[in-house]
Amino acid sequence: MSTHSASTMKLTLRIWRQKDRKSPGALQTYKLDAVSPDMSFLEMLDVLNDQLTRAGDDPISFDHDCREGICGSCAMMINGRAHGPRKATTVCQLHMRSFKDGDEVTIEPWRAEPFPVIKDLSVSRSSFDRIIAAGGFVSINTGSTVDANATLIGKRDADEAMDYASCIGCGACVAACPNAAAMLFTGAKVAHLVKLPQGEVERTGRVLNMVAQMDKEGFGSCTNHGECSEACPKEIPFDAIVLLNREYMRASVLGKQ
Amino acid sequence: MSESSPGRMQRLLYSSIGAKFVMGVTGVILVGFVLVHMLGNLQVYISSDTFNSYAQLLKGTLPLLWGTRITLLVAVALHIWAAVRLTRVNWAARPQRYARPQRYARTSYAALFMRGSGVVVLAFIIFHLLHFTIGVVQPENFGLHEVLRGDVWVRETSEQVVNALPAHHVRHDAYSMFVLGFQNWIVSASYIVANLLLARHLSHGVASMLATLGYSKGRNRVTAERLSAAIAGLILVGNLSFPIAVLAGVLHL
Ligand code: HEM
Ligand code: FES
Repeated sequence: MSTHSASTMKLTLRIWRQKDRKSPGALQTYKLDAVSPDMSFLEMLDVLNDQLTRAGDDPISFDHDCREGICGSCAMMINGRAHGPRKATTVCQLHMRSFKDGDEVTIEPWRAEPFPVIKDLSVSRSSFDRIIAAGGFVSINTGSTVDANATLIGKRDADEAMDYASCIGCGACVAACPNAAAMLFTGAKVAHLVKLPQGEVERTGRVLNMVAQMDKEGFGSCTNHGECSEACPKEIPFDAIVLLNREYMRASVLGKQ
Repeated sequence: MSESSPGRMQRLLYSSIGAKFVMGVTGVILVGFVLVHMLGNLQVYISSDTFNSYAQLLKGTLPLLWGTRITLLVAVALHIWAAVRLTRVNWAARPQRYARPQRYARTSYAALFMRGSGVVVLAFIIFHLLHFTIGVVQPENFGLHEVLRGDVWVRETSEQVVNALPAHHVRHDAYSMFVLGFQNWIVSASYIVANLLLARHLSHGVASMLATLGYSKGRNRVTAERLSAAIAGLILVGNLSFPIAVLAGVLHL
């Protein structure tokens, strides 16, 4: 880590600017000098916003919170890739060393009808919340904590459930999908509870209601391109979609709510 | 939910995943047919008699013939219905495209071109039925017959002779129709182009269908993709061999 290149970079940024939901937006070009390769991508945008603010311009709106890759707020398309060029990396965890001096970097918001642009790079992802509210929960009486070994769960199921549960709901799967489908997201939420006994009671109704909500929100449908799991910063496997299909088939046959 | 919630079947058909199941199930039927159809046609390499007996068997078994025709027609119609419905949903889901087009990491041209290849295959199916089933493309090749002389079938070009014989002494000369048909460059070229696109369609289609129907979890995903490539390749090689064999003179009258 001691071999930082002392040299900084000059970048040309093309960033989507849009005043509000209603106004049409456009790409605008900014030049940024002295970008350190050790900055995170969001820090680079902070520097640009600082310059814009000093010049009396409107800073670029973008979502961020934890800046450590766990909250799923940071969301942007960088050079045609959700979260930028690095695999399994959120924008906040992406560093400028992934770019070269003189690069042109195009930054756009997620594009999907159910993710309306609020301002610049910020989009509303409330549609995801409504999918969760339609069934991504378990209704159990809480009380004193049960013993950890009261309900045994096989190692493989526990591992799989953990993998699916690592979804941070960032929306990269939708942004990267040629069809703007939300199957990986919905699949991860369904699959994580399918793998656990706690999810068993509401199993049938959950998948039917969550898929109904997913369709109602206006997401596209999966044609098995597999771009979603490639773009996922948490590497949720494509298996989530296959499991969602299986669960939907099972629920359609059983038919109960 | 209350009683007013839609029935099971209705909910299934109007959901995106339900429409995908329709695509997948009709896909299994269609790929199965194309595969069996190709394998059946390979008999053309054995002898004209084998091929014509096979055609006679298919045409003579009416429940089989009409059962297959109706199943295929329904399958094609449902396949297209689901494709149109899902395409509308997908286009509406991204009204504003990216200014800088997405850089894909995994998908294939075949997968991105399913609608295009599907439309060409549909046009080909219509052409193919007009050609070999209804006989309007090359009517002069369609009305050919063989007649039974002793216990061998021989080609008979005189309509008077054919008409004078009892029906069970006459059969359709599918072999000559096949060979004369592909001796035409334009017909052969259209078969070649259509089958190249059919293979593209299936190289993604079979894998996609297996994922939709719940097979492709874990390592099965790789198996599904290999199977998809193998089926598409097999159909391509088999189907392309027919016009090429005729043009090369390997198959002749
Ligand atoms: C180059 C490849 C192909 C060859 C050489 C070929 C040849 C033939 C021939 C000779 C027949 C008429 C058999 C008879 O009734 O005497 C036939 C029927 C048929 N073919 Fe093909 N075919 C090919 C590809 C395809 C493909 C790709 C499809 C559809 C996806 C297709 C769909 C059909 C159908 C539906 C029929 C039956 C029509 C009916 O009688 O109901 N064929 N084919
Ligand atoms: S800001 Fe929380 S994941 Fe990037």
